[in-house]
Amino acid sequence: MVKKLLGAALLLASLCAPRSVFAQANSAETPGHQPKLTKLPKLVHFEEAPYPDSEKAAGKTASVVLQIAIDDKGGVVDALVQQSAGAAFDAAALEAVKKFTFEPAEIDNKPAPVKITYRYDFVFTVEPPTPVINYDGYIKNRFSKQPIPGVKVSIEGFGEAQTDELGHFEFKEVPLGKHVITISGPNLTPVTTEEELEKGKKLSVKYALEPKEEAEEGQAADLEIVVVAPKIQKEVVSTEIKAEEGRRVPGTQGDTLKVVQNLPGVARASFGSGQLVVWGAAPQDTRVYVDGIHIPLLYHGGGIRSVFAGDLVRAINLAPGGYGAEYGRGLGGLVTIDTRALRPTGVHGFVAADAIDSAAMVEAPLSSSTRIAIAGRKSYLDKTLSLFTSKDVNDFVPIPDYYDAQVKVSHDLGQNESVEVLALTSRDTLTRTLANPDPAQDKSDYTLTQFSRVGLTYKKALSDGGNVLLTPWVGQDHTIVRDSFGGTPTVLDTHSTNFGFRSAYRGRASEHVIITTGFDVEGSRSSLSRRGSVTLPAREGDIAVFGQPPSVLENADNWDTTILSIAPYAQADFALLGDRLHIVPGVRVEPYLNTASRRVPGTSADDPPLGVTKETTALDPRLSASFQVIPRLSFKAAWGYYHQSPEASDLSSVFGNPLLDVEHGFHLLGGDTFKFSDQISLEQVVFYSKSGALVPRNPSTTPFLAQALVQDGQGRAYGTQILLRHELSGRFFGWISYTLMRSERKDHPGLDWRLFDFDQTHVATVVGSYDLGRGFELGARFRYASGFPRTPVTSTFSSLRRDLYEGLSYGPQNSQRIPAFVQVDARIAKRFEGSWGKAEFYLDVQNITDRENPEEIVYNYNFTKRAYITGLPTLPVLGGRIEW
Amino acid sequence: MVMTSGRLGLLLASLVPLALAACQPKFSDRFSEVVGPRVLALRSDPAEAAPRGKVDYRLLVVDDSGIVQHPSVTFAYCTEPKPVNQISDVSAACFGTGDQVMEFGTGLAPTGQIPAQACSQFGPNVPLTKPGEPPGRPTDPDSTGGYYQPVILHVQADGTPLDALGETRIHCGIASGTVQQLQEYSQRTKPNQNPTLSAVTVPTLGDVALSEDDGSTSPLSVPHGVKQTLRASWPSCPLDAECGDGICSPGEDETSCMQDCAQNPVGCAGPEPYAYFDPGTFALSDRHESMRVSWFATAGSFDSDHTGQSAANFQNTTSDGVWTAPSDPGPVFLWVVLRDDRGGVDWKSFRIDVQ
Repeated sequence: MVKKLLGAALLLASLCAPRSVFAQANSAETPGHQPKLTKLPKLVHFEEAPYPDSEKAAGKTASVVLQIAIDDKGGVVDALVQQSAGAAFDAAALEAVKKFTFEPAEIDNKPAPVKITYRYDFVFTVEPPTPVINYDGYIKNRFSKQPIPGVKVSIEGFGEAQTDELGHFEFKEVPLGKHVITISGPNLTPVTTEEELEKGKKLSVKYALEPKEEAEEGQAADLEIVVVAPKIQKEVVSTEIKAEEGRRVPGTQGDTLKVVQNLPGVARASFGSGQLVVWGAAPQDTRVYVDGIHIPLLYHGGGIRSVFAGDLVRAINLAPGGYGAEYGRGLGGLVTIDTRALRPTGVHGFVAADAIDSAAMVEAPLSSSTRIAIAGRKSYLDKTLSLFTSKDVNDFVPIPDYYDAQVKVSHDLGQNESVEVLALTSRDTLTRTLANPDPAQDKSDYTLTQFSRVGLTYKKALSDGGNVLLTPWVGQDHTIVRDSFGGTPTVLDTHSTNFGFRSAYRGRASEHVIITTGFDVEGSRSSLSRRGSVTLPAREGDIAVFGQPPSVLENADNWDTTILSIAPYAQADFALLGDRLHIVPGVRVEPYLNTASRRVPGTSADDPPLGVTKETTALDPRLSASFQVIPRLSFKAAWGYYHQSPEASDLSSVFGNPLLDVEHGFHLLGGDTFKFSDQISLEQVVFYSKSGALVPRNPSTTPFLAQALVQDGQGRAYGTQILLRHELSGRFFGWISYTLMRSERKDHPGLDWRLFDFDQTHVATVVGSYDLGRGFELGARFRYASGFPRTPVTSTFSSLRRDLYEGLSYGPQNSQRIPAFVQVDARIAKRFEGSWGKAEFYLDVQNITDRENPEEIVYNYNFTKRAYITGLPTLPVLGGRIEW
Repeated sequence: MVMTSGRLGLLLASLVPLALAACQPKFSDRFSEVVGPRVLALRSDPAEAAPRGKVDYRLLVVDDSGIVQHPSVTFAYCTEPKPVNQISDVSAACFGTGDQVMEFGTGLAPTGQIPAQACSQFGPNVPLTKPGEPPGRPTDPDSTGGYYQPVILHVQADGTPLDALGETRIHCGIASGTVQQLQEYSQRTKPNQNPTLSAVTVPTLGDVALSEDDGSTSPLSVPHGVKQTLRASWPSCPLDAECGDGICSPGEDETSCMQDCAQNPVGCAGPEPYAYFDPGTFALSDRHESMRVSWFATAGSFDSDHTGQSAANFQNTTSDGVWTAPSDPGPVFLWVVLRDDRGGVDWKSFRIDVQ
């Protein structure tokens, strides 16, 4: 302890004898009258004299006797040293007493000047030294960079402190050595770290934490406190976009989840489809989860809007491949959507509308521990579009009528225990009738896509830093495709009951090992009905020409399926080399049980169905590693084996093959990330994937019964992608992403590899949004994408019964490309804020350069000429949003 | 703080006119324009034949000068089924050479014999497989429940090679169903009869009939550049079978109506009724044919290349096409081809003089 010296003055005032009192007689006094001291002067203000520094070494007590002259007002007019204690003490005493003030003395009851003798004592004492702050720091939100007040920082065996409004905490006189630090608080999962205090040094730290509402599920236990290095992401290659960023990307019309279409590794969807093609995988191969609940699609028909309210989204994460053992059942990528925590106080909400649809949300606490949010959206573009467009548009681009709704209820069971219920529904319908004087050209379309889910999520953070997650869910899907072309129907009607259960435990097995283990169960029971040509709907790999009238052949089938898999999984995160190297092996053992109600087509209404059951146990090893060379540079790699069930619609004995087995594939990827700063990073990845047991059509001229589909196909995709990103902070966010890749298929042994129907060699996206201040925001998006491959028609024949021309011979499959897509979108928004809330009005202009982007190849009636269908011209969408 | 409803009633949306133009290109050439050699139609007589049955064929080949009288034509039956992974109506191998192609005639009107295995190669019969192999997948019927034998045509007209696919409906059974249903099906449906294009008249010129281009009558004269409605007509079919009407209708047979069904029974030349076996419900239902008219001309233009009457409107026995005469005077050749949706066809050739 450092001792501080504190000078102390001990006042001891005494008056001299009356003889020494100086009195000034009043000339008016009566001669011969002896004046009488009726009141002594009273010290009102004492001035403390500092102990002279020059005398501190001696450390002695000293007294200076002074004569002080006090006037009739009590002020000191003069002071003389009568008994010296040394020049330093004398000077200090003189300076101090001259600042004394008194109540004046009184002689004969009247204020009068006097002189007094005063002894000023100097006493040397040693006071305890003031405690030294040797450990302090700031705690802030990892993403928003805002300080987090009220966070408790505990030093094991020593004490605790709490952060103030600035997120600052401090400890005084923490013993030297290593200490276990625990950080906890409201909305924070307790985390621990270790610090070491060294002699003579003050430890100042910065902790960047992710509050519970922003933490990904099941990650709390390995939530490494970000001191210098960034948190290691759960998936080796993944891009996470915060909801606030996603909403502001031009071209998304404020729809957070549409930002996924702009991420690296995602091919640009064909016009009006809204499909997600990730690293060359078929759209149905990429799985989408909302809080662990599988949903069948991310976007409404045409990709116009996502099916889930962006305002309930905390973050969207896209892992294009190589993801860990917690997920499976897909050969493509993984999209996980995490909903945010509901606000504990106040009633909040928003209403928004634009030319496409309107949306609203209300969020409120029901009690101190229970909160609810209800959100919904409804479209009207199908009704308004006809007011402003030519009918051609609706012929080519079906405009759906859709709505979606979500309800989330969260309840705190304790400080670190909660339960949430999430219910959601989505419905798309499309009705279109195109009458034609030619009965063979009469067209009608009816499409229904509907799904609903209810899930419950139980979370508990354990005292050892681990956590438990349980998510059971159930849902219904209903899809109908009912087309008629010239009287030939194409019908596919599917009813499914889906269910799942996900459990996960994440905790520290030892100081350097975090384990995650659990069960992932998913199943569906479907009833399907299909009618029409075996070649409709078209499959990837069909050599088809846009606009060609469909086949007039027709068959029908009704069948039921059960697709079930139960996957125990485990993975361990080994932290080595001072937590810079992480090796994460994992494994997923997944028995698949698939049943189809008909092994062969029925022959009459009374024909009892003879079903088939297929069981396959898939072993999915996974391995990932990341190495932080220096705080700003890290490398990563991942490898994994994946399996995927056949589609229920492919298990028809008439149109498909009830004996289809699971498809399989593996991913291999590697890359690096360099952080230029906390906000700016550059990520590069190379990837390779291979898949087998894919399901193309049977090429045989004499296929066996119930084998219209076979399982001979193979796929592969390889490429590289880069992402240069500036995360949201301050005024700007944006990114540049570029993917160079090739995706191929080989439909049957002996055939050559051909381009995948959704192959896009180059996909580049540049996105930026800048806050201009005063509530104005300007954003732009540039996109470049290679055109999709198509197969040229090289000769034709006249089909006399149907009276049309058909392709006879074709060039190599997918040997031509539609010209590249290039588009610039812009967005300008104005925000207003007040005590009532916020309002934002935006103008989102797609294709601001009015470029005629080719979207599809069309031919004239006999295939001697061809042209392109072009996409939408400049499309301004004005919208507004008010929130409180 | 909760907003009042008044404040909530603020600007929410502004419908900006989307001003979308049509995105699909329009080609200048039309299916109905005959500007060079074309194969327009193939007629099979009978319109439906059983395996091994004889069929007389007649082919319509035209160019911008009228009917091509002596094109080089080779007829062949294809015996290779179409794989399910091909979108077109016939296997591409049918236009090649090899054992799968059986030539049987040349010229515009040869006679052929339906191959014996037609119902297993292109019909509902289970295809032959090797011993020990699972049964094969039969061909799917068309939306009328029918099956067709591909007829491959290689035509050379005016030095231009033209490939065409004709199809003869083959008389097979049904793919599934009970024996009783098969019997019922046989009673309730008759082999297809080619339709008859009765006449083509011009309502805009007082219903005058177009002159067939056979030299028997003078061609109709019309003013140049003027729209004319052309009306194709065909016979109606009786709603109920009536013995003695000259038509062997579904429900009639040699036993119940020898008059109409004994020798060379003739079906209705209009939108015939037929029985349809639904592969989904395994039930029989009654339907009527739809009728489709294809319009062709060597000059001028048609508003629609095809018109017709759907099965729901089978009682309407006419269909109109609107033709705009060319601005240049001169002879114009027109062809009107009438098809039912079970493979039957008829046509007439006309000549119009544009003034």
